[in-house]
Amino acid sequence: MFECQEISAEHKDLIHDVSYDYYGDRIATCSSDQYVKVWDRNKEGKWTLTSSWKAHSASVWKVTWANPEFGQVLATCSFDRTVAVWEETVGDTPGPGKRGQRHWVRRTNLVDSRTSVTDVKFGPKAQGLQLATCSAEGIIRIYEAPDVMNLSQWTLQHEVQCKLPLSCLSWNPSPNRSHPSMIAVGSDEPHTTPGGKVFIYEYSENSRKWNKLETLNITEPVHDVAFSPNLGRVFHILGVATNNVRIINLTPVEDSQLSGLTKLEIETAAQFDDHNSTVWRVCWNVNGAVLCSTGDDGCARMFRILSKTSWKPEGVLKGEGNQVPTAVEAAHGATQHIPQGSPVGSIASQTARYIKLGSISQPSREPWY
Amino acid sequence: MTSRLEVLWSPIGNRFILWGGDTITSYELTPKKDGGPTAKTFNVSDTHIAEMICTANNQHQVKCMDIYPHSQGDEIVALGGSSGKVIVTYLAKLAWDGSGLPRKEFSAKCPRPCTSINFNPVDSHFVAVGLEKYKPDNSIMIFDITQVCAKRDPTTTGFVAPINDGSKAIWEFGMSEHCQNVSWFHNNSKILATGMNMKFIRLFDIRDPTRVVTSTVTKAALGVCTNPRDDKYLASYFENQVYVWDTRNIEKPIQILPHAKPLIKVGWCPTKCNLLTTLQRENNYVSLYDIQHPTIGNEEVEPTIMERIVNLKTTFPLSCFSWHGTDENRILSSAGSNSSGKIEIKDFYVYDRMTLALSPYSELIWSYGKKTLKSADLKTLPGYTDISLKIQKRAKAQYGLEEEFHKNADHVRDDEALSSIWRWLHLSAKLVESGRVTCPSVNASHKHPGVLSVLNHDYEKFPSDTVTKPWADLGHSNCRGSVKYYKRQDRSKALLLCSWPVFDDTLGLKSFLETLEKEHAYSRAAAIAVFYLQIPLAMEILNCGPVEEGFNYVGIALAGFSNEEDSNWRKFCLTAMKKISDPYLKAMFGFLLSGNHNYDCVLKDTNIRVDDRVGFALIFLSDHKLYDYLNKLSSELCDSGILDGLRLTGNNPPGIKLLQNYLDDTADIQSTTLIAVRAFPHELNSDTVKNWILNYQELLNQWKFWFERADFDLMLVKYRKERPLPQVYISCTYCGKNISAHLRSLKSQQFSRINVAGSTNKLTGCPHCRKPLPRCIICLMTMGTSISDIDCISPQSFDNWFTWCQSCRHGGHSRHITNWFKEHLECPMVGCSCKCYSLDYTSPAN
Repeated sequence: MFECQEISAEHKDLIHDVSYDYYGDRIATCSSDQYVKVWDRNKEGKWTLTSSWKAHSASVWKVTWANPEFGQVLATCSFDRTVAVWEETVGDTPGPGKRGQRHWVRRTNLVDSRTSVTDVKFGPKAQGLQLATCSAEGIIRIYEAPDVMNLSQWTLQHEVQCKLPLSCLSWNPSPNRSHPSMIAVGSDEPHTTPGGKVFIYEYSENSRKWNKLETLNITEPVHDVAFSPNLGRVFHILGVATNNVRIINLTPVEDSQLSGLTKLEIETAAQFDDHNSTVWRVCWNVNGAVLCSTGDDGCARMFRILSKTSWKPEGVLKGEGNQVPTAVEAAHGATQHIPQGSPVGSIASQTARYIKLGSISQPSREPWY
Repeated sequence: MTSRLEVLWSPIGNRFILWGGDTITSYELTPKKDGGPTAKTFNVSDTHIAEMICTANNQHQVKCMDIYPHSQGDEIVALGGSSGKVIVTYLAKLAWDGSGLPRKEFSAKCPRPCTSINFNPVDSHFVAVGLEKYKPDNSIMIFDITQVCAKRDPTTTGFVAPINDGSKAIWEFGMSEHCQNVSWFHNNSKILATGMNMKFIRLFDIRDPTRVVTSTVTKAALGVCTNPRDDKYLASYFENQVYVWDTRNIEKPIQILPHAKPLIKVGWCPTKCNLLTTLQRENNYVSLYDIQHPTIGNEEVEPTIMERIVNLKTTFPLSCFSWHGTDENRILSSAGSNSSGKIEIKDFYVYDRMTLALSPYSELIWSYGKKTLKSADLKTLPGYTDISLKIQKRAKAQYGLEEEFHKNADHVRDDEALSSIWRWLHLSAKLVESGRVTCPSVNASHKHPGVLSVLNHDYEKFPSDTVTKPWADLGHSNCRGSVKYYKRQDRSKALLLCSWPVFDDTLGLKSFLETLEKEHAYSRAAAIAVFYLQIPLAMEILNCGPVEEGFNYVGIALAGFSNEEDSNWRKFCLTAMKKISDPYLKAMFGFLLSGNHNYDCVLKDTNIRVDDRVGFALIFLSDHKLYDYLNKLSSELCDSGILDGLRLTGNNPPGIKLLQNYLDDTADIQSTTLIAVRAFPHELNSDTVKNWILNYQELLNQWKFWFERADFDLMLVKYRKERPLPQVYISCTYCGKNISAHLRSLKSQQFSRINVAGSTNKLTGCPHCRKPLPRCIICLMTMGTSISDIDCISPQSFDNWFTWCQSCRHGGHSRHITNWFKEHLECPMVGCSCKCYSLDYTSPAN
């Protein structure tokens, strides 16, 4: 029987992000109320609040877990222009035989951004302890902790200018060391600009620089991007939340002429207008066979892979947890297969649009270096 | 009254008031009933309609309206008239004057139209009224309605008591001024915000009516509204600009929000912090502005505003909106007008941004509203299928780890393609082991040769024997012509790989067909019998088939086989063929009817198993055609990632490509990796396979399938044929020399004199410098000492092993250490405050 557990999050304002740790045993939430909360599963499988603390002095946009190899470590980013790295510590024992009180200590505060930091993600563990952030001023920053035992030392390794205000970021999670690091960023700039709003960057060992590989031709504001677990595929799959859900295959092609620079072949594998409104978030299941999305229709929707280039809607959950009857799903029709090169933007429905204009910053707060 | 249609939620649940033109109507929301909307109802959402409660017409003189916040049963409304008269009454009274309900009238000294009216949100018996300019009079008046509404008029008598017109305003402000708008603050409810003379925003305090609290000069003096959630903010507008003010410093607006078109309404959301909503003329969307006010350090920075546009999907331009007082995210909108008779009301949910996450175990968690999270196990969602769930189940059942290939097939019985490929791996391994199939290539690791690698490609030099047999010789006297088939040694080997018997092996054929019959594959068995030109055998098989499926009739049909050009049998079969749904029966008749050696009906039917198609081709296709066909089929299957293609490619490099395509399509990393490891041992160190192994291990780790991963690793070692390197070395703390290397060398020197200590190679001191090894911090015995007789430590278990804290480097026998930490939090070493045991996050919350 399908059941839906309700957790009273006790946040005083909108929850912006919820994130599972590597094993799915813990979750962290963050909210406009400036708090971050950590939840653990108790013996009955119910989520219980174990820590809650005021993490920032403004809305906390994203919270993300580091690989457990590095300990119990969280990173948060906020409207207050900072990124914080947190580590769980064990406090004094309440008595013999009992576990010590756990609390989260701020290990570092990264204050390089001059505007709201919109996303933060830990890099794949094969690359060591890396942190990527993106901000409303359009800069991707890559930090690294050279000593994984010392989380208070982070060095700013790279700054990449993107020109457009950035809203979201995703690392290619491939565990393979021989794959160069890859990052996708999206911009929620409200005006349709030529050239697209999703950028793919790759780190080149030779030049020690992050190079822009591709700009995806998505002209609507982009609210979330997520790389699927690579799973040994020859291509990478990127899920994009814009005015619809898009699934894009990025196939690296060998380029013999240029040294070391990868080229990507881009193919839109699927596009779903099922939300019929702005799509806010996308996330993948453990093996990249199912993509989930949420949108302004107040529903969570699932899409499943049929083959490389075709996907199908797999289920719909309303925000309150009821399943939308399958008859409705059937009405949504069969798979949508977009042949490559077709103007996908024109198919997009424009009936409902949410636009986040981003911050209207004061002219006196222009970034300076 | 303005002709613009306006809506306002009533404080009474699920009710709202709509007014515009000369009509005021109250409605109640009820669930949708059968039948379309009637004259008195509107569709407001997918599920609800608005049902009219009462309506008051001919209210020409009404200029503005507000609802008493504590109304019960029926709305008490305050109406500001065009002559400066304010009426406070029940809406029902207004609708039907004979209702006997009380009403109260106030009026300004000098008649002029009211502009704005607002009940005090706390002291709700005070109602503030804004009026137009009249030289010798004040333009803001505050009345007290208690005398009327608290004590009821003697309605029981049926008479409407004449109201004392002397009820005067309690406070008056704004001598000789024009007031556009009044709005009480919600927290500090003694203060009234007003827009005056089209150029001021003024704040009055009723506790000190003699002076203005604060005032500012601005063009934006229209629609002054206070924020129900925060007295700090104030919003106003003029033309197409919205101003946001901070009341603590009202000199300058903190934000100016430009809009494309002139504004008609601004308002704050009562259920959200600092959410300003604006509506422009001729639009069907509202704009929401979320005002963020961060403090960085101790310093407060300028607030920043985030815009969101909500399309309410109306056909007409919106005229008004109203946020629900208690239901979060619920907004009511009106569009159209009374005069045109086209009214559109929408009860809309502006969903909060939902965020979501998926756990490795397919648990979905998402935010619903701002205070709740919802989590659901997608496994239990009806109709939900996901390969990761299958992978989990199969991993737990030791799928792929079984020594014998065919046992692995049993784990994937639900997937025909997968289980048949495991069975084929079993078959090919057996054939190679028994020497019945040998591979022309020298590589001995090719335990699973494909059909393509078994066949001799040099067919020009070694042509196959062509055998032509007249049908008549086969016992079909009424048949003409002959059948042609091909024989060569490598063809026979390839047939074996298709699990088909050698062509002339009648016994083998019989036993093969018997197994098929046991599996109830009657049509397949019959077809194969026909392909082996044993038509009587096929009839026998069909006769044995279940009666209800009609196989015996097919047998009868088969008995009349005659391939003469104009025989009735042939004519009949040609027409009946189209109606046969069973692919094997179709192929069987298609074969018998085919002329000119055109066997497309068998070879191109994708419903027929790949091994049967290949088997057929091996018998009936000439050398040249055979290679063409097999190469084409093989590349087709490779490109589409169909596992059956492995029968053709075997464990040659194209097989890896095929697996890659299978993986790309299905995301089944498990089967891909397992087949690659088991069938392609020579490819284990290629980048592709290494990458698959890495990904599969990662997946098992993420599920905490440690044992399954370890089993997989063990199997990997077996195929890699290399000893895994030790992960831990022990070196002496004094001389720094490697002790484990010494222990290993001891093992190899079986006859060493030191080895007399016993088979366990125990050492208590460093073999190089003779200093003792580390001691257990609890029992103070050096490592290597046998402590089997000490407190319940069993020598066979891990209890006897040494363990160290990775942080403070103190350690000892694992049993001792575990016992210690059952009661202690800190390290047993004197003076060490390391909380060794709690450093690892292990158990859920307690």
